[in-house]
Amino acid sequence: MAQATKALVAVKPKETFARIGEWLAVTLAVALREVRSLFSSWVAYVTLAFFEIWAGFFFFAIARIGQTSDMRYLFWNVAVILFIVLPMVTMRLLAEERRLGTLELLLTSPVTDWQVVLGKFLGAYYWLVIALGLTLYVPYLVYRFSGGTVDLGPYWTAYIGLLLFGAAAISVGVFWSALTDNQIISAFATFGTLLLAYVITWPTEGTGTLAEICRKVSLYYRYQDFTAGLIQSKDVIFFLLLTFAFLYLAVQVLGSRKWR
Amino acid sequence: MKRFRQLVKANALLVGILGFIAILIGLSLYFAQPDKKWAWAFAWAVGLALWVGLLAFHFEEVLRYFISQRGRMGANAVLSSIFALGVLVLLVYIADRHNASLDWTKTKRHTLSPQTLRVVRNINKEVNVIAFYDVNSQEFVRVRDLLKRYEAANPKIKTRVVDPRIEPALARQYEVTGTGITVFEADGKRERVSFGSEKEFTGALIKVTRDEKPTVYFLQGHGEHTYDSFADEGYGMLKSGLEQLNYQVKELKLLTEKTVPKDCDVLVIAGAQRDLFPQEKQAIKSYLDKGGRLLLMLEPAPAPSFSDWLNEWGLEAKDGMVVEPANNILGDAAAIFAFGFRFHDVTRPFQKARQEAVLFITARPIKRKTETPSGVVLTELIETSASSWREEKLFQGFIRKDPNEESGPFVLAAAVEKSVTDKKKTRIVVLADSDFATNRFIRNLLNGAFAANCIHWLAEEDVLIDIPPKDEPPQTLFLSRQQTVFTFVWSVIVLPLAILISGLIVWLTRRS
Repeated sequence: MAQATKALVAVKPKETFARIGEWLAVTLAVALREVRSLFSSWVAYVTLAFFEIWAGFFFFAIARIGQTSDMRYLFWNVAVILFIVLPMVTMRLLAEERRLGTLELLLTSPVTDWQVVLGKFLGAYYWLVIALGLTLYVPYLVYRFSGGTVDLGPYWTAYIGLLLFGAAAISVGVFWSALTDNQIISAFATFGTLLLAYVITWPTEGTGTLAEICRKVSLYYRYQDFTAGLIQSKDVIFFLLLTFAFLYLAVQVLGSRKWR
Repeated sequence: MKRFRQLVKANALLVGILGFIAILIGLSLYFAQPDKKWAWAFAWAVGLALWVGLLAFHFEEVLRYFISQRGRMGANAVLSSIFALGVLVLLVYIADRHNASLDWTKTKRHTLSPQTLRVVRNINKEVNVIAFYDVNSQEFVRVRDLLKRYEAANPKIKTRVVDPRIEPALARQYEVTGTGITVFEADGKRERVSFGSEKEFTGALIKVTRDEKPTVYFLQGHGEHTYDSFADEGYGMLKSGLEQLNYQVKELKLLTEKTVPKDCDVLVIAGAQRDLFPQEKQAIKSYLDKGGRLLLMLEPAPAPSFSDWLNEWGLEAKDGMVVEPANNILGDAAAIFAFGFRFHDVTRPFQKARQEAVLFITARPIKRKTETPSGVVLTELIETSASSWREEKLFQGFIRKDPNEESGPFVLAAAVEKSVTDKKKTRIVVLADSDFATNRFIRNLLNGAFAANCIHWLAEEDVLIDIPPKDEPPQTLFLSRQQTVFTFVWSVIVLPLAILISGLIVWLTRRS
């Protein structure tokens, strides 16, 4: 540790920045490669269309039948749609490379495991940003239809919540796709994990140890506050740490080829 | 034994899975039925035994694996993963305890007022809050969100929102029928709030957690209604009602005590028939000047008018009696149905009950003076109609309005507030009648609730009163036909179709 600190101090700051920049550039290159391959296959478009149809339908139903500008139910459902759709996006990330045998190529290149995992993660995250970006007509239309009286604050916090929630969900997908070379298994395992995270929300109403624990670990429970216009540091940190945890596990899995 | 050993070895995977399942069953039993210790302990024992057996029978292999290069790297990876995850769990735990919130709503819906926070943070006993709401209603979400804020501010407050139809046993336990009830419980004390918001919830919290009881003194010795008598003219029912509401009720004889006691939260003068001695008046006056609380109920002359005090508060008591030709009971013009509550904290609970009234019996005419003394906030709570008048000869044959008898409206109830210091306020409620709260009449209409509410307002700490309700912007959205069609076509048809078409184009160009 002391050595590392010394080394850091010894290095000129310019050089350090250059190194970090280089590291990021490689990561982004992996991400870009992933985005390109994702959006040149049908998967990205079908999942996007599926996502938009459902989100659009819920929006229509709440605005028309519910006659309310309170879009909390929409954003809760968007999160549920995400855990159905995201496994299809993430299933191929590392599993595909493994199946095609290109993973070895990637891993033996001067790219580190963290760069591979992070690049793959960012590639899938790009999909999420596009998907959510395409729903921005919702706050716009509500704003127009309500004559500008709607409080858009909760909408923006809901989007922030979805970006964090999505990050955690994608990292779960990255982890499972690192573990298996079968895309179907990867997708189902991701879906299963996210479903479990959803089911765990049910016993959160109530007192007692079980409810307490569920409230702490449930992604959806923590996400709900975002949809109400409230951002809490504990929830933000939870999502970021969860994302990091699964990416870290994915890196460990990739590293395991050295000893398996 | 040897065969068994072989069997276990051959089915290592199966044994391992069985052990895992047993542990999982144990875990779920532990949460579902924590009191059935033997059940989950047994499941855990079975699971552990299977795993230990597995390890024991495979001891050589396990050992060999861990000694090998691969094994060491594997163990290293697993252990460091477990360690890293442990650190993450710890970080989440720390983050949960040191939370900062950003409320991104226009009305700051998720931020408790400073007054509430002051109350909530000072609570040092367990409080259970259970709200009963229809799970499908917007109110359910609103109340749950609100209660969560209380819980976040002080973890000793445990909150829960349930649907009484889904948990009828719980509803029965808390004597709740219907929805919209929130029960606050601490130290065996219970407080119910019907609907309501932050203000009411905080008020209920104060009531259930407060240790000392607010004390109400009834002045006696001048022909007032006897505070503990259950005769028709007594106040016994009001007294026991107040005691149920967590008040302490005592009598005050100023001639022997000289000053108003320090623990007096509210002083009640209920229909004095004889004037107070100057020393007594002086004692009450100095009590009021220090931020005292007084409920003054007058009676028609010849009972004393307390005009020197009323003058200071911007009121004026007249002789005679108020008669109400329209809103009276069975032609008795002196028995007045008092409708039309003005908006005030005393009358807030009655705002919705437009059809109900307080029944006053022989009320003294009180008028608001044209000028209110500076520093005094005077609010009329109830007034008579414009067709009422001051009758001087009620008991002398016909009643009719003579030229010298001025007409209404008269003040039947008024609230007076006067700042003493920044935090302390003198509060007075003046009522034109004292009979309405006697045992004979207190059960009529809103009489009991009104009397209790006057005392609540007088006794309550300011924190209850100063929380302004948050004006939520309307959330209703009405789509015109055109807007409906546009929304559907755009969000369900055009946008997804455009995505699919662009996918098709990409696919086609790549193929060619």
